[in-house]
Amino acid sequence: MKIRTDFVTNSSSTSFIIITENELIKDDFIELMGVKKESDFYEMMSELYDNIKRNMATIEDSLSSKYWRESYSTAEDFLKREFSENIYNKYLEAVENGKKTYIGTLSSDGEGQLTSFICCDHFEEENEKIFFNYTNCYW
Amino acid sequence: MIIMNDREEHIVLLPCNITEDKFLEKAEVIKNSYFYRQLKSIYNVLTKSTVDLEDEYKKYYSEYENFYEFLYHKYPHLEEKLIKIIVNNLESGKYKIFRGHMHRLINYRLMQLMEYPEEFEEMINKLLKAELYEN
Repeated sequence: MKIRTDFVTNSSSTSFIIITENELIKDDFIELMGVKKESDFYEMMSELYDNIKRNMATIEDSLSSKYWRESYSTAEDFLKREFSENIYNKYLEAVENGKKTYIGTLSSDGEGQLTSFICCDHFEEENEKIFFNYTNCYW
Repeated sequence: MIIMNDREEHIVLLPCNITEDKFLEKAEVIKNSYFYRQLKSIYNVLTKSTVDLEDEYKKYYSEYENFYEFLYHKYPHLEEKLIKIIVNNLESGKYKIFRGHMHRLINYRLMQLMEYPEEFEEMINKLLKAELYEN
């Protein structure tokens, strides 16, 4: 038996879903999260955006990748099991309206102060440009 | 200015004119948004359930010759240089000083954000400067 005597660390990860009209735009995302361009917190939020952007792909591309394909057969299967029936309906509505749906995962081990912070949180934010569901948190 | 204390208390110098609305306005955050709610929690923890330290000194610790002596003896972890800064700020009439229990009241996630990235605490401290709230 091994006994660890130093600090034991604990990380968390969260799957998220983003629905937008087109591409995800930095200023739109930062506005959704509530930080104005003049704010001292803008840079910090910008770092979070970069991490999200780096870790997301359209739901179609994601589900065709080996990583997701092994666990989920369709978008319906993924969204209902990982999120909820409501989110699946939101996705169907997005498809009908020609919007883009992105999915991804963030880890608290990743870079950035806010990334680690929000990885331990769960919330849903929406405005006229973006829907951001960040409720699938394992911490 | 927020000063953490080894007894898990916090000490904070707050501008006399600060209010929650003004603090959030100066932070340039959008009302009711995600980040607005986080900063509002931080403001509440800094300002609610706190004790005015100067009042406490006057009421219960008058054996100390002045407020400087009170801080020096009651808060030995505070460096003399920092006590001088605190006293000078209080003498300007622009600040009040409070003690509270940030560690107990704030949620774990926000506490981490307050403690580890020093830049975050610096940004909060910038929002606690009296000149921002003059006029």
